[in-house]
Amino acid sequence: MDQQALMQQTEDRCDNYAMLSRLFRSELDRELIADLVESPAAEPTGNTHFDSGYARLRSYLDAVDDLDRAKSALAIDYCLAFLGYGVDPEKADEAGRNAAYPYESIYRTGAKSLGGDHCAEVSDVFRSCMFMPTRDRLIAEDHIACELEFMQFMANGELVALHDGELAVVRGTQKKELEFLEGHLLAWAESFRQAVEQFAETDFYVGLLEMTQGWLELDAEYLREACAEEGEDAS
Amino acid sequence: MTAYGLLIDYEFCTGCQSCEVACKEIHNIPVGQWGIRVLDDGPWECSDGKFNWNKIPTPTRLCDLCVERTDKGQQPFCVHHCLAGVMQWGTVEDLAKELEEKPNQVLFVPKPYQY
Ligand code: SF4
Ligand code: SF4
Repeated sequence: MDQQALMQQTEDRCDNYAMLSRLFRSELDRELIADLVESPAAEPTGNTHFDSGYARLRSYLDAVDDLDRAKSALAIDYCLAFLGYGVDPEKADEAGRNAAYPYESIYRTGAKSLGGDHCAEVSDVFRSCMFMPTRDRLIAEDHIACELEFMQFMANGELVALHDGELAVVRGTQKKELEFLEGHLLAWAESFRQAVEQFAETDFYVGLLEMTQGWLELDAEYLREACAEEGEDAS
Repeated sequence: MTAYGLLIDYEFCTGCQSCEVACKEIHNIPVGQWGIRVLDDGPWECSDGKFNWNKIPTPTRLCDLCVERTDKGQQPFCVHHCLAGVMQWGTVEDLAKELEEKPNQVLFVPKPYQY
Protein backbone atom coordinates (compact mmCIF):
# COMPACT_ATOMS: atom_id res chain seq x y z
CA MET A 1 0.00 0.00 0.00
CA ASP A 2 1.47 3.39 -0.89
CA GLN A 3 1.74 6.18 1.65
CA GLN A 4 -1.33 8.04 0.39
CA ALA A 5 -3.55 4.96 0.48
CA LEU A 6 -2.21 3.97 3.88
CA MET A 7 -3.04 7.39 5.30
CA GLN A 8 -6.54 7.27 3.83
CA GLN A 9 -7.08 3.79 5.23
CA THR A 10 -5.89 4.86 8.69
CA GLU A 11 -8.08 7.93 8.61
CA ASP A 12 -11.09 5.76 7.74
CA ARG A 13 -10.26 3.42 10.60
CA CYS A 14 -10.15 6.41 12.97
CA ASP A 15 -13.54 7.57 11.75
CA ASN A 16 -15.07 4.12 12.07
CA TYR A 17 -13.88 3.72 15.64
CA ALA A 18 -15.04 7.23 16.51
CA MET A 19 -18.48 6.57 15.10
CA LEU A 20 -18.87 3.20 16.80
CA SER A 21 -17.69 4.66 20.10
CA ARG A 22 -20.27 7.42 19.81
CA LEU A 23 -23.10 5.01 19.01
CA PHE A 24 -22.43 3.04 22.20
CA ARG A 25 -21.65 6.00 24.43
CA SER A 26 -25.17 7.31 24.90
CA GLU A 27 -28.55 7.61 23.28
CA LEU A 28 -28.56 9.12 19.80
CA ASP A 29 -29.72 12.67 19.22
CA ARG A 30 -31.91 13.85 16.37
CA GLU A 31 -29.02 15.22 14.26
CA LEU A 32 -27.04 12.03 14.48
CA ILE A 33 -30.04 9.95 13.47
CA ALA A 34 -30.61 12.29 10.52
CA ASP A 35 -26.95 11.94 9.49
CA LEU A 36 -27.13 8.18 9.70
CA VAL A 37 -30.35 8.04 7.69
CA GLU A 38 -28.77 10.16 4.97
CA SER A 39 -25.39 8.45 4.97
CA PRO A 40 -24.58 6.49 1.81
CA ALA A 41 -24.92 2.71 2.05
CA ALA A 42 -21.72 0.88 2.96
CA GLU A 43 -20.15 -1.50 0.46
CA PRO A 44 -20.20 -5.21 1.36
CA THR A 45 -16.94 -6.25 3.03
CA GLY A 46 -17.10 -10.02 2.76
CA ASN A 47 -17.20 -10.32 6.57
CA THR A 48 -20.42 -12.13 7.51
CA HIS A 49 -20.94 -10.32 10.82
CA PHE A 50 -20.29 -6.90 9.36
CA ASP A 51 -22.44 -7.33 6.26
CA SER A 52 -25.43 -8.89 7.96
CA GLY A 53 -25.22 -6.49 10.93
CA TYR A 54 -25.02 -3.51 8.64
CA ALA A 55 -27.96 -4.74 6.54
CA ARG A 56 -30.03 -5.03 9.70
CA LEU A 57 -29.08 -1.59 10.98
CA ARG A 58 -29.62 -0.09 7.54
CA SER A 59 -33.09 -1.64 7.26
CA TYR A 60 -33.98 0.17 10.49
CA LEU A 61 -32.61 3.49 9.22
CA ASP A 62 -34.31 3.13 5.84
CA ALA A 63 -37.67 2.74 7.58
CA VAL A 64 -37.26 5.93 9.66
CA ASP A 65 -39.90 8.44 8.57
CA ASP A 66 -40.15 10.54 11.73
CA LEU A 67 -36.91 11.59 13.44
CA ASP A 68 -38.52 12.45 16.77
CA ARG A 69 -40.24 9.11 16.96
CA ALA A 70 -37.02 7.31 16.00
CA LYS A 71 -35.16 9.25 18.67
CA SER A 72 -37.61 8.10 21.36
CA ALA A 73 -37.74 4.53 20.08
CA LEU A 74 -33.94 4.28 19.97
CA ALA A 75 -33.51 5.91 23.37
CA ILE A 76 -35.91 3.36 24.84
CA ASP A 77 -34.07 0.54 23.15
CA TYR A 78 -30.73 1.90 24.36
CA CYS A 79 -32.17 1.76 27.86
CA LEU A 80 -33.53 -1.77 27.41
CA ALA A 81 -30.31 -3.00 25.82
CA PHE A 82 -27.57 -1.37 27.88
CA LEU A 83 -28.88 0.36 30.99
CA GLY A 84 -31.80 -1.64 32.31
CA TYR A 85 -34.58 0.28 34.01
CA GLY A 86 -35.19 -1.18 37.41
CA VAL A 87 -34.68 -4.75 38.56
CA ASP A 88 -37.09 -7.41 37.47
CA PRO A 89 -36.04 -10.99 38.25
CA GLU A 90 -38.56 -12.28 35.72
CA LYS A 91 -36.92 -10.41 32.86
CA ALA A 92 -33.32 -11.06 33.97
CA ASP A 93 -30.96 -13.44 32.17
CA GLU A 94 -29.25 -16.46 33.74
CA ALA A 95 -26.59 -14.30 35.39
CA GLY A 96 -29.33 -12.09 36.89
CA ARG A 97 -28.67 -9.18 34.54
CA ASN A 98 -31.50 -6.88 33.53
CA ALA A 99 -29.66 -5.55 30.48
CA ALA A 100 -26.54 -6.25 28.44
CA TYR A 101 -24.34 -3.93 30.48
CA PRO A 102 -21.64 -2.79 28.03
CA TYR A 103 -18.58 -3.40 30.20
CA GLU A 104 -15.89 -5.95 29.41
CA SER A 105 -15.54 -7.23 32.97
CA ILE A 106 -19.18 -8.37 32.99
CA TYR A 107 -18.56 -10.78 30.11
CA ARG A 108 -15.03 -11.87 30.96
CA THR A 109 -15.94 -12.90 34.49
CA GLY A 110 -19.44 -14.17 33.71
CA ALA A 111 -20.56 -12.44 36.91
CA LYS A 112 -22.82 -9.48 37.42
CA SER A 113 -20.12 -7.35 38.95
CA LEU A 114 -18.08 -4.58 37.38
CA GLY A 115 -14.39 -3.95 37.79
CA GLY A 116 -11.81 -6.50 38.84
CA ASP A 117 -8.76 -7.76 36.97
CA HIS A 118 -10.02 -7.31 33.43
CA CYS A 119 -11.02 -3.73 34.06
CA ALA A 120 -7.68 -2.99 35.74
CA GLU A 121 -5.84 -4.51 32.77
CA VAL A 122 -7.75 -2.24 30.39
CA SER A 123 -6.86 0.81 32.49
CA ASP A 124 -3.21 -0.28 32.53
CA VAL A 125 -3.12 -0.46 28.74
CA PHE A 126 -4.78 2.95 28.50
CA ARG A 127 -2.30 4.54 30.87
CA SER A 128 0.73 2.91 29.29
CA CYS A 129 -0.36 4.48 25.99
CA MET A 130 -1.06 7.86 27.62
CA PHE A 131 -4.76 7.60 26.89
CA MET A 132 -7.52 9.07 29.06
CA PRO A 133 -10.96 7.96 27.91
CA THR A 134 -13.93 10.30 27.93
CA ARG A 135 -15.89 8.99 30.91
CA ASP A 136 -18.99 11.20 31.18
CA ARG A 137 -21.65 9.04 32.73
CA LEU A 138 -19.79 5.78 32.22
CA ILE A 139 -19.06 3.85 35.37
CA ALA A 140 -15.79 2.17 34.39
CA GLU A 141 -13.12 2.38 31.71
CA ASP A 142 -13.87 -1.03 30.25
CA HIS A 143 -17.10 0.37 28.75
CA ILE A 144 -17.22 -0.51 25.06
CA ALA A 145 -17.29 3.18 24.10
CA CYS A 146 -13.98 3.76 25.94
CA GLU A 147 -12.33 0.71 24.40
CA LEU A 148 -13.40 1.81 20.92
CA GLU A 149 -12.25 5.35 21.67
CA PHE A 150 -8.87 3.89 22.62
CA MET A 151 -8.61 2.24 19.20
CA GLN A 152 -9.50 5.56 17.60
CA PHE A 153 -6.79 7.26 19.67
CA MET A 154 -4.20 4.67 18.64
CA ALA A 155 -5.13 4.84 14.96
CA ASN A 156 -4.85 8.59 15.23
CA GLY A 157 -1.35 8.14 16.67
CA GLU A 158 -0.52 6.02 13.63
CA LEU A 159 -1.74 8.80 11.39
CA VAL A 160 0.52 11.36 13.05
CA ALA A 161 3.50 8.97 12.83
CA LEU A 162 2.74 8.30 9.15
CA HIS A 163 2.67 11.99 8.53
CA ASP A 164 6.08 12.35 10.18
CA GLY A 165 7.42 9.34 8.30
CA GLU A 166 8.13 7.42 11.51
CA LEU A 167 7.44 3.91 10.28
CA ALA A 168 8.80 2.19 13.38
CA VAL A 169 6.27 4.07 15.50
CA VAL A 170 3.48 3.08 13.09
CA ARG A 171 4.38 -0.60 13.37
CA GLY A 172 4.75 -0.44 17.13
CA THR A 173 1.35 1.20 17.43
CA GLN A 174 -0.28 -1.37 15.17
CA LYS A 175 1.15 -4.17 17.29
CA LYS A 176 -0.37 -2.64 20.42
CA GLU A 177 -3.71 -2.18 18.66
CA LEU A 178 -3.75 -5.81 17.58
CA GLU A 179 -2.87 -6.94 21.10
CA PHE A 180 -5.71 -4.88 22.51
CA LEU A 181 -8.18 -6.12 19.92
CA GLU A 182 -7.31 -9.76 20.51
CA GLY A 183 -6.84 -9.50 24.26
CA HIS A 184 -9.86 -7.30 24.96
CA LEU A 185 -12.44 -6.12 22.43
CA LEU A 186 -12.63 -9.38 20.49
CA ALA A 187 -12.51 -11.42 23.69
CA TRP A 188 -15.98 -10.25 24.70
CA ALA A 189 -17.58 -9.13 21.41
CA GLU A 190 -19.38 -12.43 20.86
CA SER A 191 -20.89 -12.79 24.34
CA PHE A 192 -21.81 -9.13 24.40
CA ARG A 193 -23.59 -9.45 21.07
CA GLN A 194 -25.55 -12.47 22.30
CA ALA A 195 -26.55 -10.61 25.46
CA VAL A 196 -27.75 -7.58 23.49
CA GLU A 197 -29.82 -9.85 21.25
CA GLN A 198 -31.64 -10.95 24.36
CA PHE A 199 -32.53 -7.45 25.54
CA ALA A 200 -32.65 -5.10 22.54
CA GLU A 201 -35.82 -4.90 20.50
CA THR A 202 -34.81 -2.83 17.46
CA ASP A 203 -32.84 -3.97 14.45
CA PHE A 204 -30.70 -0.90 15.00
CA TYR A 205 -29.00 -2.11 18.17
CA VAL A 206 -29.01 -5.80 17.31
CA GLY A 207 -27.49 -4.88 13.92
CA LEU A 208 -25.01 -2.48 15.51
CA LEU A 209 -23.63 -5.23 17.71
CA GLU A 210 -23.18 -7.64 14.86
CA MET A 211 -21.65 -4.96 12.66
CA THR A 212 -19.25 -3.93 15.42
CA GLN A 213 -18.10 -7.49 15.93
CA GLY A 214 -17.56 -7.74 12.16
CA TRP A 215 -15.61 -4.50 12.11
CA LEU A 216 -13.33 -5.68 14.92
CA GLU A 217 -12.68 -8.91 13.04
CA LEU A 218 -11.90 -7.01 9.84
CA ASP A 219 -9.59 -4.61 11.60
CA ALA A 220 -7.76 -7.40 13.41
CA GLU A 221 -7.25 -9.10 10.05
CA TYR A 222 -5.86 -5.87 8.60
CA LEU A 223 -3.54 -5.36 11.55
CA ARG A 224 -2.35 -8.97 11.48
CA GLU A 225 -1.37 -8.55 7.84
CA ALA A 226 0.33 -5.22 8.55
CA CYS A 227 2.31 -6.73 11.43
CA ALA A 228 3.25 -9.77 9.30
CA GLU A 229 4.54 -7.44 6.56
CA GLU A 230 6.72 -5.81 9.11
CA GLY A 231 8.15 -9.22 10.04
CA GLU A 232 9.03 -9.73 6.38
CA ASP A 233 10.57 -6.24 6.15
CA ALA A 234 12.78 -7.05 9.09
CA SER A 235 14.01 -10.44 7.81
CA MET B 1 -58.74 12.18 62.59
CA THR B 2 -56.06 13.57 60.31
CA ALA B 3 -55.31 11.33 57.34
CA TYR B 4 -51.71 10.92 56.19
CA GLY B 5 -50.38 9.85 52.84
CA LEU B 6 -47.47 9.56 50.45
CA LEU B 7 -47.24 11.87 47.45
CA ILE B 8 -45.06 10.43 44.70
CA ASP B 9 -43.92 12.27 41.60
CA TYR B 10 -43.81 9.47 39.03
CA GLU B 11 -42.64 11.84 36.31
CA PHE B 12 -39.23 12.06 37.96
CA CYS B 13 -39.06 8.69 39.71
CA THR B 14 -35.96 6.96 38.28
CA GLY B 15 -37.14 3.46 39.12
CA CYS B 16 -34.08 2.87 41.30
CA GLN B 17 -36.06 0.82 43.82
CA SER B 18 -34.25 2.30 46.83
CA CYS B 19 -37.66 2.86 48.43
CA GLU B 20 -38.38 -0.88 48.14
CA VAL B 21 -35.10 -1.77 49.80
CA ALA B 22 -35.35 0.88 52.50
CA CYS B 23 -38.84 -0.27 53.44
CA LYS B 24 -37.85 -3.94 53.54
CA GLU B 25 -34.88 -3.10 55.75
CA ILE B 26 -36.70 -1.02 58.33
CA HIS B 27 -39.58 -3.49 58.63
CA ASN B 28 -37.63 -6.71 58.16
CA ILE B 29 -39.88 -7.73 55.31
CA PRO B 30 -38.92 -11.16 53.92
CA VAL B 31 -37.99 -11.96 50.32
CA GLY B 32 -41.03 -12.11 48.06
CA GLN B 33 -42.98 -9.51 50.04
CA TRP B 34 -42.94 -5.74 49.82
CA GLY B 35 -44.07 -2.70 51.77
CA ILE B 36 -43.81 -0.60 48.63
CA ARG B 37 -43.30 -1.90 45.13
CA VAL B 38 -42.17 -0.08 42.02
CA LEU B 39 -44.60 -1.04 39.24
CA ASP B 40 -43.54 -0.72 35.63
CA ASP B 41 -45.94 0.46 32.95
CA GLY B 42 -44.32 0.45 29.54
CA PRO B 43 -42.67 1.06 27.26
CA TRP B 44 -45.57 1.19 24.83
CA GLU B 45 -46.22 3.56 21.98
CA CYS B 46 -49.11 6.02 21.88
CA SER B 47 -50.85 6.96 18.61
CA ASP B 48 -48.95 10.26 18.51
CA GLY B 49 -45.64 8.39 18.23
CA LYS B 50 -44.58 9.18 21.79
CA PHE B 51 -43.97 6.45 24.32
CA ASN B 52 -45.43 5.76 27.73
CA TRP B 53 -43.01 4.38 30.32
CA ASN B 54 -43.71 5.05 33.96
CA LYS B 55 -42.29 3.58 37.11
CA ILE B 56 -44.94 3.89 39.78
CA PRO B 57 -43.92 3.15 43.36
CA THR B 58 -47.02 1.74 45.05
CA PRO B 59 -47.38 1.14 48.78
CA THR B 60 -48.77 -2.33 49.54
CA ARG B 61 -50.98 -3.50 52.42
CA LEU B 62 -47.79 -3.94 54.48
CA CYS B 63 -47.15 -0.18 54.50
CA ASP B 64 -47.77 1.26 57.97
CA LEU B 65 -46.69 4.72 56.86
CA CYS B 66 -43.74 4.26 59.21
CA VAL B 67 -45.77 5.41 62.22
CA GLU B 68 -42.96 4.64 64.62
CA ARG B 69 -40.68 7.04 62.77
CA THR B 70 -43.20 9.77 62.04
CA ASP B 71 -44.31 9.78 65.70
CA LYS B 72 -40.72 10.72 66.52
CA GLY B 73 -40.74 13.50 63.96
CA GLN B 74 -38.76 11.49 61.38
CA GLN B 75 -39.66 10.94 57.74
CA PRO B 76 -40.87 7.52 56.54
CA PHE B 77 -37.86 5.41 55.57
CA CYS B 78 -38.72 5.27 51.86
CA VAL B 79 -39.07 9.05 51.72
CA HIS B 80 -35.77 9.44 53.57
CA HIS B 81 -33.96 7.19 51.09
CA CYS B 82 -35.55 8.20 47.79
CA LEU B 83 -32.55 9.05 45.60
CA ALA B 84 -34.52 11.33 43.33
CA GLY B 85 -36.32 13.11 46.16
CA VAL B 86 -39.71 12.47 44.57
CA MET B 87 -41.55 11.19 47.64
CA GLN B 88 -43.28 13.28 50.28
CA TRP B 89 -45.10 12.32 53.43
CA GLY B 90 -47.68 14.54 55.07
CA THR B 91 -51.33 15.17 55.72
CA VAL B 92 -53.67 14.55 52.82
CA GLU B 93 -54.69 18.17 53.08
CA ASP B 94 -51.12 19.46 52.59
CA LEU B 95 -50.22 16.91 49.95
CA ALA B 96 -53.38 17.65 47.98
CA LYS B 97 -52.23 21.24 47.71
CA GLU B 98 -48.88 20.07 46.34
CA LEU B 99 -50.72 17.83 43.91
CA GLU B 100 -52.63 20.81 42.60
CA GLU B 101 -49.35 22.57 41.80
CA LYS B 102 -47.69 19.76 39.85
CA PRO B 103 -49.29 17.09 37.65
CA ASN B 104 -47.94 13.55 37.06
CA GLN B 105 -47.94 12.79 40.76
CA VAL B 106 -49.96 10.27 42.68
CA LEU B 107 -51.26 10.50 46.23
CA PHE B 108 -51.51 7.23 48.15
CA VAL B 109 -53.36 7.01 51.42
CA PRO B 110 -52.67 3.49 52.68
CA LYS B 111 -54.50 2.21 55.72
CA PRO B 112 -51.64 1.69 58.17
CA TYR B 113 -50.79 -2.00 58.60
CA GLN B 114 -50.53 -3.37 62.15
CA TYR B 115 -47.09 -4.88 62.66
S1 SF4 C 1 -43.96 4.66 54.49
FE1 SF4 C 1 -42.66 3.17 55.53
S2 SF4 C 1 -43.89 1.32 55.45
FE2 SF4 C 1 -44.75 2.68 53.93
S3 SF4 C 1 -43.69 2.19 52.05
FE3 SF4 C 1 -42.54 3.82 52.98
S4 SF4 C 1 -40.96 2.76 54.19
FE4 SF4 C 1 -42.53 1.27 53.70
S1 SF4 D 1 -36.51 5.58 45.67
FE1 SF4 D 1 -37.53 7.33 44.69
S2 SF4 D 1 -36.68 7.38 42.61
FE2 SF4 D 1 -36.18 5.39 43.46
S3 SF4 D 1 -37.85 4.06 42.77
FE3 SF4 D 1 -38.43 4.81 44.79
S4 SF4 D 1 -39.63 6.64 44.38
FE4 SF4 D 1 -38.54 6.18 42.51
